[in-house]
Amino acid sequence: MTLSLDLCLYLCAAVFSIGVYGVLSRQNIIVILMSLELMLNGVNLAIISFGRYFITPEGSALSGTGASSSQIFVIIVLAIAAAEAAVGLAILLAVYRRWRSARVSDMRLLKG
Amino acid sequence: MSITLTLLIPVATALLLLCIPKDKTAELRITALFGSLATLAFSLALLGGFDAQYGAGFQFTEKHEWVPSLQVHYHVGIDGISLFLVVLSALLTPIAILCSWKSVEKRVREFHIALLLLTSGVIGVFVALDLLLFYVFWEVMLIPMYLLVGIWGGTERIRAAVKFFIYTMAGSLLMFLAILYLYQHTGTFSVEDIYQKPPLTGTAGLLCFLAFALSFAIKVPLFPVHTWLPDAHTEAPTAGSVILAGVLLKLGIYGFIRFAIPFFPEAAVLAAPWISVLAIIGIIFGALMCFVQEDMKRLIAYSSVSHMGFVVLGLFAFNEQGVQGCVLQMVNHGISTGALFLLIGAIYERRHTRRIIDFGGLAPVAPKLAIIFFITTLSSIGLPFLNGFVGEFLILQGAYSRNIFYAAFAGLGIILGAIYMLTLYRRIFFGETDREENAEMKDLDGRELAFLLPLVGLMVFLGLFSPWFTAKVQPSIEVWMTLLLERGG
Amino acid sequence: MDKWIFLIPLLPFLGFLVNGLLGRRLGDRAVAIIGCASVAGAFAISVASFMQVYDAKPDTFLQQDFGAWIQAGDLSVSFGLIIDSLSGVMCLVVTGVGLLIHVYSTGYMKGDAGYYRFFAYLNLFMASMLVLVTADNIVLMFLGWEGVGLCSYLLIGFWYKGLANCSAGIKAFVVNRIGDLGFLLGIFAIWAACGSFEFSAIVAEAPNIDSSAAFWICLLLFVGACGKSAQIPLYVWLPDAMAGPTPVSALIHAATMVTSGVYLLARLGPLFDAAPGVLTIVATIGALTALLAALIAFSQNDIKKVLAYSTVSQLGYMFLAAGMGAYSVAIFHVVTHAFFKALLFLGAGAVIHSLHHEQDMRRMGGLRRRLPWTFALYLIGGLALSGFPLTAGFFSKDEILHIAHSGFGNIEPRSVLWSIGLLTALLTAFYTFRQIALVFFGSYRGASEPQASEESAAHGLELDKVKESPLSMRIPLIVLAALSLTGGFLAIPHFLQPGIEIPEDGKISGLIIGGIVSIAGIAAALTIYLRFPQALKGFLSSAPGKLAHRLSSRKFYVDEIYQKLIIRPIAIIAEICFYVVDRLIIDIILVHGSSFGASALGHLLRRLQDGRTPTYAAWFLAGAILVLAVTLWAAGG
Repeated sequence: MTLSLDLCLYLCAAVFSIGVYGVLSRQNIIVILMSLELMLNGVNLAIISFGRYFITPEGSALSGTGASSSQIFVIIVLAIAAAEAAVGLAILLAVYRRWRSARVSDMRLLKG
Repeated sequence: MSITLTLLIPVATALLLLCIPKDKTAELRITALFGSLATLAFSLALLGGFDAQYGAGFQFTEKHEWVPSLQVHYHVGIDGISLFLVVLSALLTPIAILCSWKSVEKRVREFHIALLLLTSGVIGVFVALDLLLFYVFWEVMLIPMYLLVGIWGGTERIRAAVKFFIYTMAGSLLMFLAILYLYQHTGTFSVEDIYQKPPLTGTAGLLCFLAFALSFAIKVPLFPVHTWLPDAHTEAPTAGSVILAGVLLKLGIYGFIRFAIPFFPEAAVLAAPWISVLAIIGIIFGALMCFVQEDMKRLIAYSSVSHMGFVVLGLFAFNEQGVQGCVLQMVNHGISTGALFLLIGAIYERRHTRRIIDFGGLAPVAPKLAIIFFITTLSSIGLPFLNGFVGEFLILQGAYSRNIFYAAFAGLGIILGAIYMLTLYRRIFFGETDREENAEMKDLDGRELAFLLPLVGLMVFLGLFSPWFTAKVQPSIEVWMTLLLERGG
Repeated sequence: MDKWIFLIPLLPFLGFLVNGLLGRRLGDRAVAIIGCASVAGAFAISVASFMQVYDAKPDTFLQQDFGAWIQAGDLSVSFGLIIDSLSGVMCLVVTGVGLLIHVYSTGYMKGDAGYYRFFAYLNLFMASMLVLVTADNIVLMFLGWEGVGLCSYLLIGFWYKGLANCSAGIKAFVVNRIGDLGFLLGIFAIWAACGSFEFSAIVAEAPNIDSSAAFWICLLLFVGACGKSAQIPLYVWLPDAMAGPTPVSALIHAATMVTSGVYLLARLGPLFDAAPGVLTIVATIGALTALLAALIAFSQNDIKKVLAYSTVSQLGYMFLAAGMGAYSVAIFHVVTHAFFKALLFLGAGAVIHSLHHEQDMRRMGGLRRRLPWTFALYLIGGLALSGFPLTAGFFSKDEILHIAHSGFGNIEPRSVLWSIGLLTALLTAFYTFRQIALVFFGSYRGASEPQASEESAAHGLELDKVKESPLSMRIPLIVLAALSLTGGFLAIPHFLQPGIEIPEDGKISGLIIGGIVSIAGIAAALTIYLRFPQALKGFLSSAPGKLAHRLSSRKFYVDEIYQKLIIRPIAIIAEICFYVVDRLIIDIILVHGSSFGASALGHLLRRLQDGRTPTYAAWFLAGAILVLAVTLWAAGG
C-alpha cells in the first residue's frame, strides 16, 4: 500500500491544527511551547512529504537534489525549534520568577 | 517695497518680544504695536508701488530655491487681487493690538507673539506663488489662531478652538493630497508654471478640485460647513474675531481665485452652479440664523456666513462684475464686520455681557458708540454711499448676468439683512435706558476712536471712490478671466 | 448755471455734516439757521437752473459729471447730475416745500432734546432726495432712493425711546427694501438690455428693447415704485410712518419721498410706453390703492392716520395717471399734492402742537374758534384735497380722471378705473370733511372725555389753554395755502410734455362732474357729522354698518394677514433652521456625529487589544488564514 500525498498532508494539517489549538486555548506557557513544537513538526512533516512526492510537470517523481533539499530544510527547522524552545523556556523562567505564575492570562502588559 | 520684509517684520517683532521680560506689559504692547505699524507701512509701500497698468503676471516677485530636489521655491509676488488683502491684513493687526490694550491681561507676551505670527502667516498665504510654500503658510497660521481662541477666548474656548482646528485640518489634508497629485501630474509646485501646463480634466480634475474646494469652502465658510465659525467667533477674543472675520475668511475665497479655479477650470465650471446654490442657501440661511441669536457676537458671526455667501456667488458668476465685486466685497466685509466685532468688543469690555437682551437705550448714553455702530450697520446692510453697496451691487449684477434667479434669491439676503441688523441696533441702542449698568456706561475713548475712525473713513471712501480700488484690481481680473478661458473654463 | 447744479444736493449735505457733527455745540438757533440756509441755497440754485431750462428750447438740459462712482469691466456708473424740465420741476417742489417745512420745524421742534439731530436728518433727507431727483443715471438715483429710505427710517424713529417708533421705522425700511430688491433687479435687467445706466441712453434704447424684456424691466421697477410710493401690496408702512414728528410726515411721507415712485415712472416714460402690459398693471394698482386707502381713511381716529391714508390714496391717483401713459399729468398731481398735503400735515401739526401732542380726533372738536388761523388754512388744504372747484387739487385730479375716461395717446379709455377714481373722489371729499368736522366743528371733547386711546399723550387739556402756534409755523402754512389755491393754474403737463395732446372732448363736462362730486362729498360729510350724528350712530350699530366699520377701522386686516402669512412663517422657519438644521443636523449629527463615530470606533477597536497573548495569536491566525484564502482565491480565480 502506498501512502498518497493527500493522506500525508491531512496528517500534517491535523498535527498543525492540534498545535494551533493548543497555542490558543492553553493557559500554561509550557504547554503552549509544546504546542508550538507540534505546529513546527506539522510543518516539517509537510516539507518532508512534499520532498518525497514532489511532482514535475512531466509527472515523474523527483529524486536527488529535490528530496535532499527538503530534508535540509527540516533539519534547519528542527535546529531553530530547539533554539526557540531554549529561549522560550528561559523567558518562561524569567516570567515565572517575576509573577510566580506560568499562565498567559496573567500577563497583560500588551494591553492597548 | 519688498514682500519678504513685510513678511519678516512681524516675525522679527515676535522674536523681539521674546527678549522683553513678560511682566513689562506696556513695553510689550508698544513694541508689538510698532512692529505691526511697520508692517502696515511696508504693505502701504507695496500699495503705493503697485503698477496697475503692469499687465500680466505678478509684481514684486522674489524667487529663491528652497528644496531643490523637489523644485520647491520660496516664490512670492502679488497682483491686484492679493494686493488689497495684504494691506487689509496688515491694517487689521495694529487695530487688533490696540483693541486688546486693556482687555487682554494674561500672557500678554504670548498673545502678541501669536497675533504677529498670525499676520505673517496670512500675508504669506496671500503672496505665496509656490504651492508648497502656500501650504506651509496655510497650516502655520492655523496654530496661532488656535491658540488665540484656545487661550484668550471665552468660557467654551477649548471646545471652539478644537472644533475650528479639526474642521480646518480635515479640509487641508485633502487639499494636501490634491497638491501632491498635482505635483505628480505637472512636475512643479510653481503656481505660474501650473497655469501654463495643460489643466487636469475629467475625474482626476474634478476630484482634485473638490479636494481644494472643500478646504477653501470650510475656510470661507460655505454652507453647510460653516458651524465652526459661530463657535470660534463667539469664543475668540475681540482681536481674534477681528482677524478671523477680517482676514481668515478671505483666505478661502482667495484660494478659490488663485488655485482651485484656474487649476481645474473644467471642474470649476461644472461645479459652479452647485457652489452658487450653496452660496445662496448660505446667504438666506445665515440671515435667518441671525433672527434667533441672543448673543450679538454670534449674530454677527452668522451674518458673516450670509455675507461670504455673496462673495462666493460673485466669484462663481465668472464675469468681470461678479469677480470685481467679490474682491471688493472681501475687503468691505473685512472692514465692516471687523468694525462690528470691535464695537461689540468695546461694549463687552464695559458690560461683560454680550446678550442682546441685557441692553437697551444706549444711544443717549454713548452717542459716539451709537453713531459709529450705526454707520457700520449701514455699511453691513449695503446702503449706497458706503462700501457695502458697491460690492453687493457688482456681485448681484454679475450673478444676474449668470442667472436671473441667483440675483433674485440672493437679493432676499439684502432684505433679511436689513431686518436683523436694524433690529439688533434697535434692541441695543433704542428704547428707554432702563438698566443702571447701561445708564452708567462710558462712551468710546480716544484709543477706541483711533482704531474705529479709520475704518469708518474707509467705509465712506470705498463707498464713494470705488474706482480707485477697482482700477487697481481690474487688470489682474482681466488676466484671470483670460487664463480661465485659455484653460477651457 | 450748469457749473453749479452740484450744489443743489451738496448744500443740504454740508448742512447735514455741520449740524450732525457740530450741532450739539452750536446751539439751537445756529442749527436752525444752518439747516434752513442750506435748503434755501439749494432752492435758489434750483430756481436759477429752472429758469435757464425754462427759457431755453424745450429739450434742453443742464448736466454735470463728476467721474466714475462704480466701475468694473465695461460697467460704469458716474456721479452725473442733470436738470431738465422734469427734474427742474421736482427740484423746485422738493427744495421749495422742503424750505417751508424747515422753517416750520424751527418752531415745531423747539425745545426738543434732539433739535440738532432733527435738522441734520432733515438736511440729509434733502440731499438724498435731490440726488434722487437730479441723478442722470438710475444707479445714482438708487443712491438717493436708499438715502431717502434711510432718512425716513431715522426720522420715523426720531423719538427713539419709544420702541414702537423704532419698529415703525424698521417696518418702513424693510418694506421699502422689498421694493428696492425689485428696483435693483430692474436695474440689472436694464443693463442687460441697454448696456447703460444713463436715463438718456435707456430712453433712446427703449423702442429697440424686445417686449418681454421691457415687460420684466418695467414690472421690476414698478415693484420698487410700489415700495417707495406705498402702493398695494407694499403700502402698509406709510400709515405706521406717522410715528415720526409731523414735519417729517409732511415732507417725507406726503410731499416728496413717497412721490419718487411716480418720478421714476415719469423719468423712464418711454421705457414704460414700450411695456403696455405693465402700464395696465400700474393703472389698475393705482386705482385700487386709491379706493382701498380712501375706504380705510373713513374710520381712522388719528388725525395723522387719516392724512396718511389719504396720501396713499392720492398716490394711487398718480399711478393711475402714469398707467395711462400721462406721466406729466401724474407729475402735475405730484406737485399740487405736495402743496395741499404738506399744508394739511403742517396744519395737523399745528393742531397737535396746540393740543400738546394730542392726535386723537375723538378728543378734539370745536377748535375753529380757538385756532382761527389754523382752521382757515386747514380748510383750504381740505378743499384742495377734496377737489373743490378752482383749487389745485381740482385741476390735477380731474385731469387724471379725464384721461382715464377718454384715453391718452395710444392707450384706450379705462372706464372701470375711471369710475373707481370718481368714487374715490367722492370718498376723499367725504373723509376730509369728516375730519374737519371732527376737529374744528362741534364741541370740544378733549377735557371731558376720558382717555380715548392708550396711545394719546395728552391728559385732558382745557379748551381755553389751547393757543395758536408761533409765527414761524404759520408763515409756511400761509404760503402753502396760497399755492394750494393757485397751483392748479400751472400748466405743468404742457411744460413737461410740450407736444402733449389731452383730448378736448368731454373735458368741460369732466370738470363739472368732478366739481359736483367734490361738493356732494363735502356737503354729505358736513351734513352727517354736524346735523345728523345720531343717524350715523344708528347706521354704525346696524349689522352691515358694524361690519363695514370694523373692516375699515381694522384696515381690512391687511397687517394681520401679512403677519400671519409672511412674518410668522419666516420667524418659524428661522427657528426651525437654527434648532433643527444648524444645531441638530449639521452640528450635532454630522459634525459631532463624525467625531463621536471616530471615538466610538476607537473604543470598539480597543477591545481587541486585551493584552492576552492568545487573543493576539488568534487574530494572527485569522489574519494568516485570510491572507491564505485571498491568495488561493486570487490564484484559483
